[in-house]
Amino acid sequence: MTLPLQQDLHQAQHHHAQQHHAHHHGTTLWQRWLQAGIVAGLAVYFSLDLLLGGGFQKYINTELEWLIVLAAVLLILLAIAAVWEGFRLLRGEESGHSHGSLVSLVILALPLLLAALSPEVPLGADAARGRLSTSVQPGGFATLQRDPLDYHILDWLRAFAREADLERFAGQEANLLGFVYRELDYPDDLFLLARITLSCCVADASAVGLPVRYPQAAELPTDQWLQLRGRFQMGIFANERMPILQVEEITWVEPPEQPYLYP
Amino acid sequence: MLALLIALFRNTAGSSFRLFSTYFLGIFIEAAPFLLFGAFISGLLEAFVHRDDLARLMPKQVLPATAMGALLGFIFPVCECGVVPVVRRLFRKGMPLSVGVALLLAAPVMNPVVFASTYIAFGWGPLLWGRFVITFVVAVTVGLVFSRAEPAEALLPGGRGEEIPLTAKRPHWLSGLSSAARVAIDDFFDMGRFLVAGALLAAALQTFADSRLLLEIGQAPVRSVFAMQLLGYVLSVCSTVDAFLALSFAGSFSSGALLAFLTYGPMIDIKSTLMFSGVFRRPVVVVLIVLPLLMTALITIWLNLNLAPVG
Repeated sequence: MTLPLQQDLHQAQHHHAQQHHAHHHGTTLWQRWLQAGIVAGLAVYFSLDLLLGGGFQKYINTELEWLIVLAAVLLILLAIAAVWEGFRLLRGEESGHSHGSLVSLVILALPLLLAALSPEVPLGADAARGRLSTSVQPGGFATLQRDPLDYHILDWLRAFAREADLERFAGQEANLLGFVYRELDYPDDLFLLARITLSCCVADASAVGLPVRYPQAAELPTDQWLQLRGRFQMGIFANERMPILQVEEITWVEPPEQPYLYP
Repeated sequence: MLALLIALFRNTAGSSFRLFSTYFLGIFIEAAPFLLFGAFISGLLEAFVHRDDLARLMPKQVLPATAMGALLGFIFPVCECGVVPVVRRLFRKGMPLSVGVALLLAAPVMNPVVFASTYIAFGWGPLLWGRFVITFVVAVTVGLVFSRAEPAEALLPGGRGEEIPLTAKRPHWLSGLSSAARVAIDDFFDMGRFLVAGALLAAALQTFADSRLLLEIGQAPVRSVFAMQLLGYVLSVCSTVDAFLALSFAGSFSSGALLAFLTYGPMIDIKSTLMFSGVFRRPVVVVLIVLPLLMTALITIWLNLNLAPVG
């Protein structure tokens, strides 16, 4: 991989040194237009699919939405400039400097290709495997004012971590959304209701899970999103005594728009 | 037809492909705004700022000038590819070697866009501050090592003498903008492929690598540092976005190793080695590669051994 890149680098170096001078080392028309096409494609992907379609919530913390707005605006500007460049070249006017070796064009088309090919499914059990925890650092004191029925999985795990006497949670009612996660050595009536957590983007994703007792747990498909209502009862999970949710009401649901929790 | 094929592929794609592509797109999407913003800034600088403006800012004494050189990036945010031609030109104007070296090594990190992306990836914390402090210390120290050298001994004849043509006067704003956009497009494609390649590797490691093996390497205080330095060197990812790659290793690698990646990688990688080779004589290039390597390694290994795990 390094060889063609190195070649390009020499070009890049060359071009940076001569920035202000127009040189035609064989930028062909179709390369410029291909460049314009890729930038335009990325502009469409960022503005329509990620931003308007809400797809960005699958990839990054929703608080960073402004980054996607920024990228979309800059990409649209770049696309306009690239098309303009293409027309200038078409009219036979000189174009700034040579660029867009085939390698770099193909490489930059890759994100578009993968975006088209990959199904619109958020991270789930596969991503959680090996990164899932059922206990967290105490925290989330802001949740103290909220109704426990609105707590999500992370809120509960933090509440458990705050409390010295876990028995106090016995009988507490909870209302939870998450996906099914199981490992081979779980008993047949037990699964974890899990959520992916991330602070920046999927690159730092990990997962939290809450043990749930449900007679048909083994038959639940992994990754199925569930809305659960139930009560905690003390039990043993992974050799530790902790509150386990006893299901009273179970609803199969679609993955939510915003699938991740942000610690 | 194409839509049908895509739909077919989407439904049959294996779960590890799905995972891989989500990781990859996540890193790319998060990094793209910074890459684009950096490309626009470099385009605007290229079009509107004269290289001589830089030279006027330089103090005269070696130590303050070297320190200034290391911080200059905050005023003129150029990334590692933009900085080499700038430095080359400044050398021609008689800038001391030590200042140029400090500028060369520090500029990729010392800039507001890098600050923003590192902050978004890691928040306020040791990784953010460590990145800037270590880069500053290493750049100034390596710069001072060259304070006694004669530029003629260190620079290639072409690297010093070559006339770089410049437009004589500042361009009209409209033609300036259009040439800025051109530079931005080219920069985006130039830098973008390193980002894509780096994101592919990071996503592949997250999806397919045995996490126990990664942890074993990543938690070893010494080996993890050298592993991340090697990775940073090979990946050559633009400094404005490398924080997001580092983030994908944060689960398995020691903080010292991440810092080594975030400091050594921007200073020296395949890209900059090639560019340095066009400016400096070979022995100088070797010093520029090895000295920062050893310094960042020593500092980050010391951090790994002496501080409680952070980050």
